[in-house]
Amino acid sequence: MFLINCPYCGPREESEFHPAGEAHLKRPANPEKLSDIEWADYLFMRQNTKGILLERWVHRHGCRRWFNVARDTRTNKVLHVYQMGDSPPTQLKHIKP
Amino acid sequence: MANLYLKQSGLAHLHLGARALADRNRTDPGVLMRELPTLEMINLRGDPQNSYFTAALKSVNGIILPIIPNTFNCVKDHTKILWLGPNEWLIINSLSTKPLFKRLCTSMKKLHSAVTEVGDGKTTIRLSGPNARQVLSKGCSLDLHSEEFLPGHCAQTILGRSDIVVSRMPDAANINIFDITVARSYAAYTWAWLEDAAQEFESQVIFF
Amino acid sequence: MYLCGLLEPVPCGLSDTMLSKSMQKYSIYALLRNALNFHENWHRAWRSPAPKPEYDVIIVGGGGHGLATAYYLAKEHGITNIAVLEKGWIGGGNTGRNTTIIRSNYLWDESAAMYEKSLQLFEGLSQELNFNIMFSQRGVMNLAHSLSDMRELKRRVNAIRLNGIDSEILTTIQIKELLPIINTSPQSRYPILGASLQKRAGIARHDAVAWGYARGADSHGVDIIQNCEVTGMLRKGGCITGVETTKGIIQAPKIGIVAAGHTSVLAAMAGIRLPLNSYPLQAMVSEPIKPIHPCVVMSNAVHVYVSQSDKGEMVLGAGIDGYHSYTQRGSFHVVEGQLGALCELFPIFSRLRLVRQWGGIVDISPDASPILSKTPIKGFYINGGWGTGGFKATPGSGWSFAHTIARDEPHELNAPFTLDRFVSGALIDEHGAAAVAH
Repeated sequence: MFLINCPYCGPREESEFHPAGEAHLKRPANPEKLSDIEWADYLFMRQNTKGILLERWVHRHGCRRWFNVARDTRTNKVLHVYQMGDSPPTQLKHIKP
Repeated sequence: MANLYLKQSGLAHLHLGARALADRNRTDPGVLMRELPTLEMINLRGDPQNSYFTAALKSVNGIILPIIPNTFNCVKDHTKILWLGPNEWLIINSLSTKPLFKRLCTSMKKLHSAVTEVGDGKTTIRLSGPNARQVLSKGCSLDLHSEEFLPGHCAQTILGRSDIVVSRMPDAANINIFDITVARSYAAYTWAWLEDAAQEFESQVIFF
Repeated sequence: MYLCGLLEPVPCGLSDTMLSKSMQKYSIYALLRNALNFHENWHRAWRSPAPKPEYDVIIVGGGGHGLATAYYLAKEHGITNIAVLEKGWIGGGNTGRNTTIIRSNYLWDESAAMYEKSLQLFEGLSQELNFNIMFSQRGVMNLAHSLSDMRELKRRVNAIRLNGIDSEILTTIQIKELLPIINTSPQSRYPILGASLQKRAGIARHDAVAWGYARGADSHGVDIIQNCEVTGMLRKGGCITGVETTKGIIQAPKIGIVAAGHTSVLAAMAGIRLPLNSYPLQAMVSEPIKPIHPCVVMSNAVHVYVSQSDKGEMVLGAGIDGYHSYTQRGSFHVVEGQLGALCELFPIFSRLRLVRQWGGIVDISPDASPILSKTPIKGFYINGGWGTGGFKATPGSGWSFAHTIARDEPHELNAPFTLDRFVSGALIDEHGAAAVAH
């Protein structure tokens, strides 16, 4: 139970949102050329970070917009929110999980 | 547009008119509850930076879009335009003699936009009175403090278990007036929830 | 017969030098004998030794699965120079946080074999460990609320029976006879059309399973080292050589990771990525009441499962919280939704008070089946991905993982649960096997 600062609506209770897993996954440019290992990597392998995780959320019961969140999975504290298409915050990279 | 003759509120089965009659002699109710049925509601999408889009809207009854998140604008007393998202609004028109939908569609022709009539799928419950805020706070995680959630503010959020759009109406005597727009299929649930939550404050049903 | 097992073992805070081989047998005679000494001479159930610099095998994770692995390594394979490293206290992770359900009613042959082996081991476990794990085969019922639920249930029952495992279909009337407090009204929000029942399934005292295995492993000479967190993996070439811990470096040619929600964190220390996601799963218990709920009830459609503990508490579980987290707590609205569903099924529970609520971190794999496997690093083994249903597999998991470590090759039971099935595509899809949304 925590607050998420929706980039459009402002801070709201987590129950208004829905999580959608790791952000910034790159869909392979040429899927037909992927080896089985590369394909499995794209489909199944996730960071599962214990520390600062970049992930996607959707404000399902609010403005229904998707956006990115940097959240610490050790505390559930939301450290940063940013819009779809924006690059991850650089200052957070220096914080070691 | 649905035939007006057939139009019926999602709460028609509660016979709120009869309830209001029974409640008419209540003194000092903490909460007043009423339905604002069969309002015209239009979901509008478009780019507010596009001056053609905003100009076309202005040509229909002088509609001006609210750009500040979680706020709404009023055109005269009968039309409300609520901010739903950075490119999405809900227009609620209570003047049934002057529907907006067709005029909006015409003005939006050739513009990158979407105009969708959604009124038949929703209804609005108006909650007012000195304890209205406390009632809402029982099932809504928003900060509804009268200094935080001001007249002219609105929000899409959750009340109990259902999605709502709540807006605080301008009020002269500083009595809280909240309009709660809810999906027709959840309207009976929301009404029952509100009635239950309002019980301790002595609620009164009013009808027009 | 196992009265003495009811005495909770004293977890060791101080180091003691008692010889492990002299495990004190629990029996009615031992109870009488100790009564004469005012119960002051009971031995500690396991030692608390300082770690040695080197072992033959290190098991990382002192939950049920890890302790069972150490126990079977010693008992079945004669390997006794083992350390079990636990960052907190034994059984303090998911072993002490689950809802204690044991069953083997799985759809696919691979899972059925694994969970059935576990159930069979559970059936003799109190005797084998000389420790009362309070195993109660009171039956597990899976409810069907719609015609499609009913069709799915029949398919499962048929598949389960083809694997020689007991399973039967109950009508609504039979359900009501067995469980009078359930709401079978056709007008209810979740009408009950039928259920499957595995009579041999049931529950056990989860802590006792960990304690029993700990005592058993300790009696074979296994060192159980608590408050010892692994902070790094030592590798030489393609081989594992040891671990860095908060109690110093400990070396071993073979290391097994059995760490539930932290499996991928530990694997990452050795440079291995796993297809696991860690989520909170919440559970709770009510105040204790008189016996009214004689079996375990699960509903896959409304995501709730409930049983009554021997203490009388209703033990309740729900679906996972949908976001990654290592916090061992979850969100209120998940619990709220679950309890709403519970009160629809059992209106009588609406007046129960909730006493405790907690969360555990479950590691969910893409096909909801475990990974019990060798890895590309020699001597490095993974036992994880049990997700929301690991407790029931404790004995079978430890038994087959011990085989994998001892022989450096999987037993046929766990051979299908490899890491490379996610590359080959030979998935074992058990997403429908539990009443947990994930």
